[in-house]
Amino acid sequence: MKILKQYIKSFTLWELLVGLRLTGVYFWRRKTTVLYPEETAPTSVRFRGLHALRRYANGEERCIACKLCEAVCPALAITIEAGPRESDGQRRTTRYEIDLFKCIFCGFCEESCPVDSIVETSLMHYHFENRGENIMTKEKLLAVGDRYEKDIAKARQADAEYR
Amino acid sequence: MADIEIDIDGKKIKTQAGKMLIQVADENDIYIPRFCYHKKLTVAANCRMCLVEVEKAPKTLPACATPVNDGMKVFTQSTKTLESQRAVMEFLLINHPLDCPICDQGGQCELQDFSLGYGKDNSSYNEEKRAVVNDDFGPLIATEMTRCIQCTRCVRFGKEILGVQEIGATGRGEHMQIGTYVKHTVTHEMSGNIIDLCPVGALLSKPFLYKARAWELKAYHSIASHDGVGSHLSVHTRRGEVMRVTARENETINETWISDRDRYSYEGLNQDRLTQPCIKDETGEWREVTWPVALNFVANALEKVKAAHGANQIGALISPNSTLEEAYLIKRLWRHLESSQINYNLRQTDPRLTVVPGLNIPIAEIENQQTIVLVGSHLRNDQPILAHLVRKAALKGAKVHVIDMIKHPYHFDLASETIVKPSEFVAAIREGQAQDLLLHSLIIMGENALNHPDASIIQSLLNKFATDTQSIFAQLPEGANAVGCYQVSAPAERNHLPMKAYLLHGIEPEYDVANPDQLQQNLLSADMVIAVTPFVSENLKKVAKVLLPCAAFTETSGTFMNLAGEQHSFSGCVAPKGEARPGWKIYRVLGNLLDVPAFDFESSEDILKSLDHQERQQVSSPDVHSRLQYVGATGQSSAVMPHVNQLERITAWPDCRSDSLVRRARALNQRAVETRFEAVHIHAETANKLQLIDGQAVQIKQDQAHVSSEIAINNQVPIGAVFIAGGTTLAAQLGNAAGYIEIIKC
Repeated sequence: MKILKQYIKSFTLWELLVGLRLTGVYFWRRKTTVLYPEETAPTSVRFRGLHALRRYANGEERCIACKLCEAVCPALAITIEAGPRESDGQRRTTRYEIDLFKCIFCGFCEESCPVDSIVETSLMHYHFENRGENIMTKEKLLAVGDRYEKDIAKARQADAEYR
Repeated sequence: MADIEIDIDGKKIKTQAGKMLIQVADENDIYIPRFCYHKKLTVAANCRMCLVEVEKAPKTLPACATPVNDGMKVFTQSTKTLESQRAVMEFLLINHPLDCPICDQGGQCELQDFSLGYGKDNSSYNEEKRAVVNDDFGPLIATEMTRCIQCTRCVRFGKEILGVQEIGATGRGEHMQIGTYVKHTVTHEMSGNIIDLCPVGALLSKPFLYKARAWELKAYHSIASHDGVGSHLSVHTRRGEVMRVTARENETINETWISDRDRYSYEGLNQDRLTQPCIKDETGEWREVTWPVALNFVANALEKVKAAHGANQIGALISPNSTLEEAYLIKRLWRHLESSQINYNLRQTDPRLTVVPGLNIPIAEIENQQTIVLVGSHLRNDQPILAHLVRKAALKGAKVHVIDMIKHPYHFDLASETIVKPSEFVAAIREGQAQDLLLHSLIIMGENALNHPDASIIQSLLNKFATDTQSIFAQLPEGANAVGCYQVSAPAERNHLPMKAYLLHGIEPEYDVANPDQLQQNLLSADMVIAVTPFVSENLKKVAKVLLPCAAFTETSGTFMNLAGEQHSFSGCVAPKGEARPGWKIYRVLGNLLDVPAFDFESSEDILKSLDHQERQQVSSPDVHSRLQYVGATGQSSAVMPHVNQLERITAWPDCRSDSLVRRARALNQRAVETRFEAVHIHAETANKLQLIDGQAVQIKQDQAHVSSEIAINNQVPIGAVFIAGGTTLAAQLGNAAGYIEIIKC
């Protein structure tokens, strides 16, 4: 009997069909993969990507050089130097650098910022070609901020009531 | 005072009646929060932060203004205490802005700490906050008066410690404001201490403004390098750079204060630094070389000069701010070369004088003196901490007599004041001796007297006078380590004639000597000039043949001996800039190249150990006093009678021009601009006679030198004399600091 069963199974490729059943289930199921890079997966408003320094609507940079982000950074990726601004004596950074090789994207800098200046945007598509480009200088960070201000503001707005 | 026993938080404490509760608590490490109380100032009891519950008292009492009583029971942690402290914090925060992120005090703020430790998490105050217009306190102190909590520490400090009330409180209650009354710069030489005193961010250091946060800084212990007091400092560094200097407490020396010169001189550390050894080649071009090349060159050059002209043609001019180790190694090197020409008393104009520096009593003892005689000593400028102690003595009733060539503003009452021209100075001292009220006094011979052309006569007169009256005779020359330099290399016979080779250690020949003109010519005609210096200037490049970069203050380890003969060692706080090396390392290697025996020192501690007592001159040993013979009766004055039009020149080094580091400190010099140190100061009557007016451009003539400058009318200068500040561009172009000046109208 046992031999007969095995005989029939081997002729009908039964085990193959059993195996293919799982394939079949997934074949007809709704797909979760996306066609990257044409399609991208949705990201949370809290996504922590590339950093940016923001400005106020009147163009004034937000950062006041309080250095809390530098103090809280667990990877010691942030370096700040500050001093009175030459034009009006206000407290501003003269140097604001984030080393992206050191950064672990924990988001503490963003959380510690009293003026919502340093933020992590949803940008994740960036690369470096030369040594030294991993250092995000103040100019670069402000440029990122200027370029994506709308998205940044929207993301902050969406998350506002939980912050 | 009677011994009593009190009880704080259940702990039995034996103490003396009459003390304040907060003092007793502090002594026993029980912490009571406070803003206005400071142990060196009077009690104001206006912040109410130190309220504590005392048994049988109906309300909580301020610990700073409550004397202890026998059997008193105090609760510093009870609900009632904490409740009152919480209420006080809420009141204090009503008008305090929430600008901690941009406030320099953030991270080291007492208000912040107490708000966290004793405050509430919310405020019930929703009304408008007070805003205060800022006062400009000058280039040293930044203000943000909205942050002020009116503890009045700064006001009391001004009144009680500075003795000059430059800051005061106007208005009452909520309208009370701290300011300078009439708009003017805070000019006192110790005013920077109000920054340390301010418990909030209302008074801040201007050069340090926004530069760093308290948590980024590393603090190192150091010793002040500008005056002979040896104030204890805390040097704060970040990433290998000195960011600020604050006072470190030492009850026997500087209490909790330091002078502004010690606090702000660090600003000069990054200016004009020499970072690479350089040799001038035949064409006069400077060539950067490595250390071995430079040191071999120097060793060869010294041997060559010795062979050609004899060892006594090799002279060393050392800054009295050099460390004990540097001075000692130079002494050993020179002894090996068989030269005795080492000079660190560079501002003295009397070649007969041997300065025996030292206070001869402990520094803290000054305040217990009954009589103090200041002879040619601008103590407030030269040794601010000592001036503070003299003031303390004066407040306790000591009589202070002054004999000087310039009428300095003192912050205490004087028993007598004699201001005469330099030519009448010796006579004035002779007359002064007629007063026999001066038994057991402290006689201070200051820089101005030591720089007088007849200083040796003055020294002998005062020494005899001190012996006769059983007084203490103190000589206070410039420099942080004058005593140390004297001890390791007491001067032998010195010649002031031109020499063939010079070592300049830490000095700038145009600023640091009594006769810049003469030295400049000597240096230019010398075969070899070796400058070991942290700073480089155009003039040094002109006169020197070799430039060796040495570590500046805070970059080297070493030892200073203060005027009381106490030895204080310190370590380096930051690495020297570029290729600069600590002075002792340079001389150690140079010594090896010259085959000086037993010269393999590994550290500055090593050097200090080898510097045993036989190597030193004992300042207090009796032979010093016998060496200062009484020449008063026979001593011939070196003065030459002036021409009719000539005025006697008085030169003193203002605190912002006293050494190469402070000359580069921007804020200190900026504040001193008001004193017009680059001008020629004359009395109004002298000006009248010569028909000159304030601010007038003139030509001044001394010997061969003609320099254009401007007139400043200054009635502190005696009639017939001219005051020219030392260490200035003006003085650098002139000759002898004690010469005669002719003023020519242009």
